[in-house]
Amino acid sequence: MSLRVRPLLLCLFACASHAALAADLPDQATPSTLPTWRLPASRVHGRKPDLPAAELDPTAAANVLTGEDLRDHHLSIPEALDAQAGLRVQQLSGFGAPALLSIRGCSSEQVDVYIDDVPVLSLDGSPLDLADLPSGQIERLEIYRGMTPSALGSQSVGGTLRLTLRQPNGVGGEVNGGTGSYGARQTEAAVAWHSDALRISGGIRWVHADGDFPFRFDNGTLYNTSDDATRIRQNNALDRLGGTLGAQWQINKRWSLQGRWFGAGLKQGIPGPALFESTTANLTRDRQLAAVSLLGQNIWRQDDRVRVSLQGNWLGTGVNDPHGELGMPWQTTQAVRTMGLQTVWQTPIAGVLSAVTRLSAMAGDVATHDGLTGTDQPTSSRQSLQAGLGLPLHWQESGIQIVPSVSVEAQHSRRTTDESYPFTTREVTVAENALWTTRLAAAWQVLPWLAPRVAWTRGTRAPTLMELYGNDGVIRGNATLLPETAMTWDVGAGARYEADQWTVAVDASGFYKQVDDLIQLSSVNAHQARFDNIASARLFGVEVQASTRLFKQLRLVGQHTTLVAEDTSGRPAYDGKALPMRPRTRWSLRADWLKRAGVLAWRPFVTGQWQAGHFLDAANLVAVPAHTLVGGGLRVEHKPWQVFLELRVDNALNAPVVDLVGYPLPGRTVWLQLGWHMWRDDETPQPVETQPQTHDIAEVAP
Amino acid sequence: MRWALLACLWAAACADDTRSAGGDGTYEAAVPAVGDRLAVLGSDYKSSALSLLAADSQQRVGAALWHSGSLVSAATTALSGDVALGQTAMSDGRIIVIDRGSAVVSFWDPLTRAIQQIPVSTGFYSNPQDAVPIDAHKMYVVRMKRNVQPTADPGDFDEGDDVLIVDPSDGKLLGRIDLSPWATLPGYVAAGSRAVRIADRVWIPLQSLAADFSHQGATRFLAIETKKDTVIQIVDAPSVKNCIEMAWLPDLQRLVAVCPGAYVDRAAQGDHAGIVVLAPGDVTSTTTLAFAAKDFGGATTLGRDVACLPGGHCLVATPGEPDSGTHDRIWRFELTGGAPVQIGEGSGPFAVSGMTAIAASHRILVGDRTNAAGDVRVFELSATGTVEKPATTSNPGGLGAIDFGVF
Repeated sequence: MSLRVRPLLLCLFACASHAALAADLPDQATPSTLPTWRLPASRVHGRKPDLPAAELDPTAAANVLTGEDLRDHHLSIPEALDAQAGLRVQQLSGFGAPALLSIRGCSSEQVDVYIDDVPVLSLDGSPLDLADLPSGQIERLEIYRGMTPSALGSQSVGGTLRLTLRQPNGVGGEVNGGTGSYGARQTEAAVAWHSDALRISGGIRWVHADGDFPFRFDNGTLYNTSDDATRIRQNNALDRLGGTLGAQWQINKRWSLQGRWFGAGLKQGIPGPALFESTTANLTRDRQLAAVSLLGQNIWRQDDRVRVSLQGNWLGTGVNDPHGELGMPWQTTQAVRTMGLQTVWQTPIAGVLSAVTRLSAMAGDVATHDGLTGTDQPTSSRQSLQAGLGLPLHWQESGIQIVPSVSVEAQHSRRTTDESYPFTTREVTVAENALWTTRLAAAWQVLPWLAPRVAWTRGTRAPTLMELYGNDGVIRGNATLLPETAMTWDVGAGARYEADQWTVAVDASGFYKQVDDLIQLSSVNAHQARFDNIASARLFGVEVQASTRLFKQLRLVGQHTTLVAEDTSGRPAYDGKALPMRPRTRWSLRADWLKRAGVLAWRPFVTGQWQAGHFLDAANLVAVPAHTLVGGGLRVEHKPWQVFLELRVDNALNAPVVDLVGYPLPGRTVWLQLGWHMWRDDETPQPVETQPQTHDIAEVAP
Repeated sequence: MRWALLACLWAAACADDTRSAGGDGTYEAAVPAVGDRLAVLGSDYKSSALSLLAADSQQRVGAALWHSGSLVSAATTALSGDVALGQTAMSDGRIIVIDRGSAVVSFWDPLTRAIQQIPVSTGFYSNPQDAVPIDAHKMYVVRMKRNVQPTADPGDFDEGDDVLIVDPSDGKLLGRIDLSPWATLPGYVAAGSRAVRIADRVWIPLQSLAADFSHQGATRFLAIETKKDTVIQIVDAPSVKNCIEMAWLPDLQRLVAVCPGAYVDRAAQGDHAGIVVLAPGDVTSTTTLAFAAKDFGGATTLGRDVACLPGGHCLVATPGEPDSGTHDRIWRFELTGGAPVQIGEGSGPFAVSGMTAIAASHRILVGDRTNAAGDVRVFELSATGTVEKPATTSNPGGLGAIDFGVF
């Protein structure tokens, strides 16, 4: 099998991530004041902070997106994150396609993901596919750049995505559906009900895309344009079906029990490189995640909080290419099973000092079945224990916070048999890893409108089972791999100013990161590759996120990112060159105008994004030019009926965009969305703002 | 001053790495005469670069003269990461580049930098392995992959697992020679590899692979008569598998083939790995297992390249092992007999790739893509010994050599 198909398959496999889900107690809240599902009045023109602060660590450089933002702007999670400072989302195709998150130039494998504060475990190294996440069922997204809050886990190399699902507090339901270019369709519905002690909610989402957009076909002969033609992308259709179900039972004043289930199914064609499109190759993925959390407060000490979460998840992935359209015939199914137990206890100790202790254990395995030969591949497994301690100090009067934390982890990984097929030598190999991470950070509320911060972080990433033991032959394992380590220095400040007619909020960060023992896939020949600790890299940059409201009707949100990512491996062909697929600069801007006319609210909006050219290969030979994406649309809301209609155009200038040569992306697309909310405006408690920094600002609407 | 400051700020805020990227390389010396042009292909299997040296002196003529980024579209790049050089020269000195990734054969003129391209995919990923010019209007292209969903029309030549016959002057497809019937196991893909032209015959080793790559049969060498485009001779090599590359010794009238053994049967790979020798002029010829892989320091497989000088002085490599940190090793062996002798070590595991013999200077060039002292290593062989000469860097600061071709 040629490695020409490997980028696609790796990405697709990478999207086949494990995840875990649990409903638990937000660290700054109590069981009786959980962040609630906002009601329509606040969702349409709510009292929203311009740049909400991160809940778990005020010393962090963070991006925060609320569910209201996502739903108001009808943004998918990949779209929303791609417009944030320091973040980039890569997609292989159009609407609904797998999407991977990169933070500060770090790859998606280096980003830790937490859903309702329970870690998404990734035994085989697959990062989370952002397109799996239903934007309609999200309460809050927090992205911690270059760090992990001590209440969540050990320090990561790239950063942390913390996702909070909508909490079951309202009574009623909502449904919306849309249709767009190239057969894009989506329907999403949610319902919720509650009594005094019990709250239940659920949601379902279906997505379909034909993906049959046109692209320029050059027949591989770039120097001969006479055989060029416009072709339609084929075998690029996808279907997604997913849902959530959540329940919370208030046992008594001190204890509550939460349960969550999250399922996401994907079936899609694997179109192959544009030059040799496939007709039947396909990918299926089924993710089932469940968690139960016991939440308590004032248990052993006044104002302490405890969370015990038991999680289990199963991820099945099937790649089916019986005709070998992508290279070698391939028909495999992979099952990843993981169980985890996590305990977090937060308590005041004395005076300004409090403590966050964390203990967690995890066990899981990866099993692969080869459908062509009917054989089971060797099973890989891992068990790990992790302990963490944070000792935040907070001087209320001076506004100074110092947050030291440390974490240790022991991992035991092994492969169970030495059978091999094909191309691979496998040994019964045990890999032991001991990891430690630490962070020291401080923030100071110097003035009511200004809060600088500084931090130093040592993060690690253990090699995954895929990296240690390879796959079914194309990728060779390397059981001697060392964990990646990253040292990050951060400085930043948040500032905010309000006046009668306008407000402005700015958050700026600068960082320097040195990553060593980078695990990278290197080709050993045209048919095989293997992971090695072959590289190191230096990354530094500046990130600025700004938001302003003018004349109570115009809202502008923008970001700028400068990222310098250099290879420092010392290898002659790469040293000093830019890391591939990391644009040096990016700009994004969105402007929303609100105009009320009777019962209708009109909201035209425009979006723009500029991205610098960058290289697609480590040797810095293959460059793609800078591109500018412009979009816009109109959203109309009928408040009494709680109905909205939105028309949106993306990439209005039809700019050619390439994230990966061979996998063209669609040009201009149009999207039409209709939604209806039906919520009982009862006395459901509104959410308590869980973070002191998330001040409300003046109503947008008059 | 204020505008200058604003301009600087704007430049910093819109910095673009690719603005400083170099284009195609420049010539450092005159292009050698036809027959003395040593094309060096550098690659990390993700992107590729073509450099040019003088074959006789190994002096660099130009680095990265044509590379993956020379032209980029949404669908393809100028050169993919899976590229090889033709092993048979064209009479006009143009360099033959076989892009397996995009299934295109290109002719690159080092004098004018003009590029002619012929697609040989016929609608599927045909995985071409070699291109052998026959005359000005005829060329054989060995295609390894079988098309599992061909059209019913035999005239579109889209069946694959064949030798595609094309007219290099205009790219027109003239016909195909089906190799499938010649696989050593029924139903297997014949999977032709790198070819050697000897007078009016083109010799091709067949790898005989199961369609799902799960099993591999013994090797068969097959000769095609170039006037009639028919298979005229076969030589079976039941003791070896996966023969990839051959070297022709006109003085001895022998073909030397390197066979790494079946990767799909790792446990028994060493049992079917070795060096075999053919006498193509003898119609009753069978192969002789000249050396087993274990003769090379107990190796269980061999590299995919072999090069020989007149008199039967040859080089081959044995791959290292990343897990143990063992480097590749370079061996000399003699067709006249005697035990192989290790004459060098590669710069790492899987670093040595590509060999070519320069008969005039009694040298064999060995690609060592990560060698800091130069990726083109030079070994001068005589009857009495081997001397390693200073290596040449074909592409300073760029991708190291994995394949050679003399044109």
